[in-house]
Amino acid sequence: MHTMETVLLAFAVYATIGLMFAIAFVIRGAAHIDAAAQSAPLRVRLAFAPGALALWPVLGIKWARAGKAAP
Amino acid sequence: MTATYKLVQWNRHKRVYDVALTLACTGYLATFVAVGLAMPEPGRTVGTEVLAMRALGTLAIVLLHLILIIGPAARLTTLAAPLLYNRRHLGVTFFLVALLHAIIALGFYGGFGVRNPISSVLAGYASYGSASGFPFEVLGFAALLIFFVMAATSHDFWLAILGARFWKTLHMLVYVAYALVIAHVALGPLQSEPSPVHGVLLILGVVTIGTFHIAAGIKELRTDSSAIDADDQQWIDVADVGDLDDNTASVVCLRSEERIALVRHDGSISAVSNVCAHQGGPLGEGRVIDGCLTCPWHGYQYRPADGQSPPPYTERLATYAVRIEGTRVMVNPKPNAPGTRVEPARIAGSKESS
Repeated sequence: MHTMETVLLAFAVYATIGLMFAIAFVIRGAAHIDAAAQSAPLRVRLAFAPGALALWPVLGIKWARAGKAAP
Repeated sequence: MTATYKLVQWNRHKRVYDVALTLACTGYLATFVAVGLAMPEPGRTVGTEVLAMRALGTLAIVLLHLILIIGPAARLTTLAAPLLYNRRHLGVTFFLVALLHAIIALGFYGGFGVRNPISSVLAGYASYGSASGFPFEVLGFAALLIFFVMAATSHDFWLAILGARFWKTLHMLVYVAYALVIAHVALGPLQSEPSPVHGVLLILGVVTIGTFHIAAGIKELRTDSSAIDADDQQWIDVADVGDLDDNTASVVCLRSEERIALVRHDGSISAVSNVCAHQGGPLGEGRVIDGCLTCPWHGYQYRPADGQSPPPYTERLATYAVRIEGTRVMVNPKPNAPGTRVEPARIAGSKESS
């Protein structure tokens, strides 16, 4: 397989995982990590989805840490 | 600010900014396409899709240069502050323009075969050793990914949860993306461009951005070199009362690399940290609006006496003790904990407004 095609495949896998993560993040994760997001309406949290798709590994760690820190 | 999140914190300035930006962008695109159709290049047939792609591409380049110039320009002159105030919207608009350019390019150059257009354009051929055959689309795609991450994380929510340092580092990638864009243009469209005009304009853009950054850097170095030595001093003489204008702030630099914003308001002088809690904007270059020191970058506000944002907002700044001896303003360089109230120093003979 061509190197660039391999890179694009890896990119597609990353984006697919990111898309699934972004849906969960908009529904629960954002409010879990940042209390100020709890009262934000859904349309505002939907605006966080592209960022969640892009940065899902970082956010996944933050979400897990926030879950551990919660009483 | 951080009480809760809104999609956009609209105000009159942002509305005017966005309307002007939209009109300017649509005007540019319409003019570019209209001129292209009315005056076709001799011997070259260019379709509407290609014209639209070029219009969006050149508009994206212009917007990117503007975005990169605004920051250092605001360090050099307060005239650029209104542009900086809503640079975030300019950035998102730029990304959407660049994205449209990429979508049209993918559709036009890769949308007619059986392969996926992205794969067709980015992996269809590769001649990395030659300037004329270099797959410049890959460079543009890489830049677009960086711009996507920047646009997607431009909301204050991201600044809050990623932390200022990570967020700032992420957004400094704009310079990497800019280099990729320049290479994308130089190795792509410029290779088939018979006229040197576009190449000269591109070089002019790079030089302009470099010049603004160097000039702003020199100004910062000069400010730092005039810093006041505050070591082992309990009170330092920082200014004359007469040099401070009402309802404005001014910056005091200490040798410890700390900067203090002196605020004259309501017949008194207060001192708070010069660094805005939002994105590190220079509060000492701000004004007092509605009784609050207002950051020139994004309009975050703080009460001069205690450095706190007015409720329901929660941002806080370090405060400093101030006193007036004769006409001289004296500041205690030891910062108080953020949000600590300090009695403002009353200017003799001045009246407090009701």
